[in-house]
Amino acid sequence: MVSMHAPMTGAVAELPPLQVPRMSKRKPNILVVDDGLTYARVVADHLPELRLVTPDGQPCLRDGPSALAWLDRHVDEVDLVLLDMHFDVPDEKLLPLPNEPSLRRQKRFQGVAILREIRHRHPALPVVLLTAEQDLSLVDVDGQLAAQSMTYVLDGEDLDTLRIRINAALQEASQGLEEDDLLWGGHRAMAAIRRRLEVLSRGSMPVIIEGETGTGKSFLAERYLHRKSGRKGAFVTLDLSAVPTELVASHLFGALRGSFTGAVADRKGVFELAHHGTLFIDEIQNVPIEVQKQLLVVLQERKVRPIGAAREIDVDVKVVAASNQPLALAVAEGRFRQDLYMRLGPATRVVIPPLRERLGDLPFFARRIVTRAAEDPENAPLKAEVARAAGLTSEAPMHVLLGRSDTPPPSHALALVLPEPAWKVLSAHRWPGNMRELHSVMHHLVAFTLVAAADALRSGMPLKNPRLQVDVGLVGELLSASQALNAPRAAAPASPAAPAPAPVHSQVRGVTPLPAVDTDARDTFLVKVRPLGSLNAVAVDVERQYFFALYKRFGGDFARMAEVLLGDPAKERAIRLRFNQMGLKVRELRGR
Amino acid sequence: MNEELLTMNPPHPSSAPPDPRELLADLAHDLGKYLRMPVAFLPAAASDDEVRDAARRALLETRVTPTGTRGARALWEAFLAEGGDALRGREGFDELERAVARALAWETRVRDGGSALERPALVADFSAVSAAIRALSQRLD
Repeated sequence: MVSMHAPMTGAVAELPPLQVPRMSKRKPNILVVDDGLTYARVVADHLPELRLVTPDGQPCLRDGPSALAWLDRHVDEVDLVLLDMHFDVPDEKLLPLPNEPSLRRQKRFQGVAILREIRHRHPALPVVLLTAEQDLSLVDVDGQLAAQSMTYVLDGEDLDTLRIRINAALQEASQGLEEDDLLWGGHRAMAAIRRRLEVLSRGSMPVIIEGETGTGKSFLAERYLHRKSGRKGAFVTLDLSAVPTELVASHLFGALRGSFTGAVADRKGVFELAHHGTLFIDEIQNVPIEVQKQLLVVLQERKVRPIGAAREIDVDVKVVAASNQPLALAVAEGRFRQDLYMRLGPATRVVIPPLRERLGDLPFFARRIVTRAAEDPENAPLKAEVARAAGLTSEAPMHVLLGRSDTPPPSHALALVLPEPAWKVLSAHRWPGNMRELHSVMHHLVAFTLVAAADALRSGMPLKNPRLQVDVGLVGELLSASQALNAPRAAAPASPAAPAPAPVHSQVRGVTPLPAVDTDARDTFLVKVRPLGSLNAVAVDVERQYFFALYKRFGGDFARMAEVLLGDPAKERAIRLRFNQMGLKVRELRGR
Repeated sequence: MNEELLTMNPPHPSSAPPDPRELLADLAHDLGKYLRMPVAFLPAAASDDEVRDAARRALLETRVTPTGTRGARALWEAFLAEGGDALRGREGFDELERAVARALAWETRVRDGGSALERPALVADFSAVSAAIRALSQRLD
């Protein structure tokens, strides 16, 4: 399956960036949160390149509640927080640390409680936590706080170490947690991947990207690597999970008419299509072993000879090879040539961690996806209608309220309220479909909730509350399709030197395998042919039945239907359009 | 017991008798860390006056918090009074006591002014307290 995109001509700016620090010529603003004055003095006296923020004339904020209240109002004035760990403050000024019953320990690790709240409320705000890493590990059991890229742990006590930590945090923050339509989040691994991809985008050396299904390999390759590369040609995708083995060579290299049985016309290969551009080969481990040698030669010689052709064609292509399993494993099992593997550059391969390993970013991702989903063309008119009914403007953004303790959204926004049980379910889910699954679930929550609200309005019910509560049952329903896959799985190894055992992988790009369903039969259904007035009417009826069966099988996941029907989950909108054309109403199907 | 100790909050009434390791962890923070920090964070080119001022803060204003200002001597005495004294006789305690005594011995020179303080010796003596706390704590583990 080949898809081709014209070169990107501009950024897809949907939302204003988060709190990107103004890193121009002015000094970065540093807020010290410390029960003592030591760090404030250090900044004021010995770090002239920084400006100490003095809330209400004070050199620092002395406890968690004061700091959080002040930050809620003035976060835009702060570029970085220096946060102490130990707070010797009155009991009523302590934020709770649920796993620390001892008051003494609550004080000693108070910085963690404050950090958690800052992460929750201001995920892009860099924080340097002033403690030794071993102390943090005592309370940050799952390591999520320490793994946040905006959190730095000061592991030395000298001016240069502090200066380096602050500088690194400011540099990283200047990149932001999102970039155009890419959601990076705050996990340290993603920051490293971002830096690595930026370097790898230069030149024409191949790049390997590994990661489970749904982690966004092709998205990153196109929206980041290709875009950053500055290459003038097209971004071309070849999905080898959808190409019959015997046709892989002709898809890769092209073929002349009559060169083999079934070659009824000249066919350009993807190398030729991607000339001066980027070729994304998905599931590269599916290249038949007998074709791998040819592929190696093309990569080495930068020339391709279409099947049946007498002459070679020069090609300038940057190859991005993707796999949902460690390629090293395929090499070890003899399914993938070692020389080809080495040619692809395994030393610089990029391994995208699954979503379940960066759940600290879940609130941030959920917020951004909800806001964007509400602006989708199919949702925006409904959102505007509901917003107007609630006394807001049609352009009111949609925010999400995640559970009981989340910060209320601004008064000018429509709120999608996820009740505490629903948020708990989402937080505990292991997301086997990774970011694709999260996108799908959040999009559906927005769509179903807006439709329900709009239906209520049209039924004459007054709806004045700008808070739309999500149906808790719907969350479970949306997650149920993948819950059978929730058992922990081995992740792709983080280090090329230590490949992990192979995870269970889908053989179909982007499609989360269904439990107990034969893969070959996943798109096969029985439909009843009924005599109707015309062949066209019969065909439409058959198609309707097929689409309805597909909808039920995939639990209403249009991305997965698009994957099956069009080979690209991103084309879910085309499926929705077809549903509309056939008169299949999602809100009605949901109840059937 | 000096005046600084009197400004401290009394122990929280609900707190149980403190575990010695917890006491040492607090001492590592309050005394070990804050005794060392002011001098450690000085720029390399700090003047004699800056070194003296940092040493004064390290020794006499070791912990300035909303609950009071405590000097290094007060923090040490509070540690002993709260249960640290019970560690006397444990391996490593004598080394800690000696390290604290060496650090506190700088008080006179800091208060009196006069000749410049030898920064390397100052850093070494202040850092030794932290190392001795850590060593004793590890022995308790």
